[in-house]
Amino acid sequence: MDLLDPSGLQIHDFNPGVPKPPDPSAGLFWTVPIRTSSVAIDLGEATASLHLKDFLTKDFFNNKNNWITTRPPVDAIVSYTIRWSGLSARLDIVDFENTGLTTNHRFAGRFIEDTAIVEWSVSVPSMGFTFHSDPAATSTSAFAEIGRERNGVFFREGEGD
Amino acid sequence: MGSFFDRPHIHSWDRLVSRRQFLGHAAGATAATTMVLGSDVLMPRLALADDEAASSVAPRPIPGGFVTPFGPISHHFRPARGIEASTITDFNGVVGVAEIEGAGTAGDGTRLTFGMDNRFMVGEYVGVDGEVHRGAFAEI
Repeated sequence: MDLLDPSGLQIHDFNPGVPKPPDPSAGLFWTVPIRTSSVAIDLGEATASLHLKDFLTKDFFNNKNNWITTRPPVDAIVSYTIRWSGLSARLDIVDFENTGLTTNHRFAGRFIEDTAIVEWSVSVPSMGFTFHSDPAATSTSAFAEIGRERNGVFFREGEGD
Repeated sequence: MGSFFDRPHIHSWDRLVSRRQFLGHAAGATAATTMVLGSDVLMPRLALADDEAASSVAPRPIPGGFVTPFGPISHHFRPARGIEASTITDFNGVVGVAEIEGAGTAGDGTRLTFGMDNRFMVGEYVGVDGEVHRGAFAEI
């Protein structure tokens, strides 16, 4: 979650970080466990929501500092509700080649492309910083989808035949 | 909003997208990807997490991704049609991807703009312990 000042300069970057070796989940991108009840999804109605309240994360300040950390991140507390709705396309996708780093990697999914909106807030206690977004209806969905996916050991050989 | 188990499988795709259109949208990331429209092959019985506690066993990242301008590999794909949505591998479940932009106000009254790429993943996965677990995750 990036915040930019009026000049367009990124001044906050909220994410949980990426574990590094020897952490067994090293490389896991900004992904953290949440309670199952945080997610509601109804693929039949093409709707979903993700709600987190007072969720502890980090402020890395800018994208570069995520990867080359010269300024230690500080604690941040975010709350947000994202809602998916609408239906612009339905897609079945099968990626059947193990093509490595820069391409998709053996996954299959059934997706609904739609629209997402968000209202969120954050505080960075150590900096005395707070932010609250405008109402969700004012946000703009650049890309959104919900669906089912399986990958890795759950991807079956020949699935794309 | 009920469980998606309660819903019938979706058999009719109301907007078909050709392979050419699809590859055009996802150039560079999906050269090995095809679409199968209207297939039930992707609709397995799926077990969602059945407890309220956050998952205690960490998952592993997807092997794919891209090299960042700063050197390290980012094990996720930018939001776009045809990408692998999940950030965790050995995963079978439901996902959501939201790339959203907007504006708001800081505590001192300054108007700021924001951009986000947030996701959820709920289902079964193989944890770092090699065992199958069920849980929910968010990319924040």
